[in-house]
Amino acid sequence: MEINNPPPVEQEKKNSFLEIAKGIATQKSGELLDRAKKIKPGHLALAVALGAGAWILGDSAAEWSMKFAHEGESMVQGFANMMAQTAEASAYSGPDALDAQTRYSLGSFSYTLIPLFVGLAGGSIASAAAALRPAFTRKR
Amino acid sequence: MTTATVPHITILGLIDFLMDQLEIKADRLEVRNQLLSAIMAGLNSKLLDNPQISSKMGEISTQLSEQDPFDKNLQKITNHLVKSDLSEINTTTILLTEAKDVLTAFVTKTEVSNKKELLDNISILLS
Repeated sequence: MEINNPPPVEQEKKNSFLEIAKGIATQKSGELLDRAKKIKPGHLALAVALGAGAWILGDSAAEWSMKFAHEGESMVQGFANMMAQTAEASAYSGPDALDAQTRYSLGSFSYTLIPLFVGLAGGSIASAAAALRPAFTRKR
Repeated sequence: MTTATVPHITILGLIDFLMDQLEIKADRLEVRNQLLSAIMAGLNSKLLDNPQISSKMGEISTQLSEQDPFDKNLQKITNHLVKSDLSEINTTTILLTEAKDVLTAFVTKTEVSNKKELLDNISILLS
């Protein structure tokens, strides 16, 4: 038996990757809640904090917010693609002709950064929505 | 392992890549979700410190109504964010910093033989 080279399953059991990830998420969520308490009250800001907390703390909340995150992502993904295409089109046909390297850089920039902004927006929407949903659905 | 093995660098892709390297077989989706939650919580935490973002949240919250159905409120949030000029806020840097922080903490706490190599890759890819 090779003690120094355990098989993946044993290594996984030893590491308990999920528990490690949960610990980090709980810590970050705690920091977020602490920060939220320090800013002046605004229910969306609070909702973002609570949404992130809810994401972690409950199975159903986590399941719902993940589902919503996917929906939100796909919803704004169209916008991201449109922005990227517009940026590229502008680079090619704008009044000031851009050289090939600039066009390439602009295209790369658009495709690289816009999804990050979209991820930010989608994540914030998902977090806020997770916390706001019970309040709004009660009014339905 | 070199950085060239990661052709399209996204945070999600990097998490999957790390899970492959760590030979995580079970609970992959849950591990990924927890790491993403941690990154998002960290990101939101930093954003709450940003006066521009706090102000933007205040603006959005005034437009929401509990009398409206949830979908309509969500549409308002989306519209507002789409129209918002976030270009002055360096969200990309904040996001990458948070991702680096979370993934570094994750790998650091594991007991794997290639830890240093993985940490070096995270540092390079998310800098």
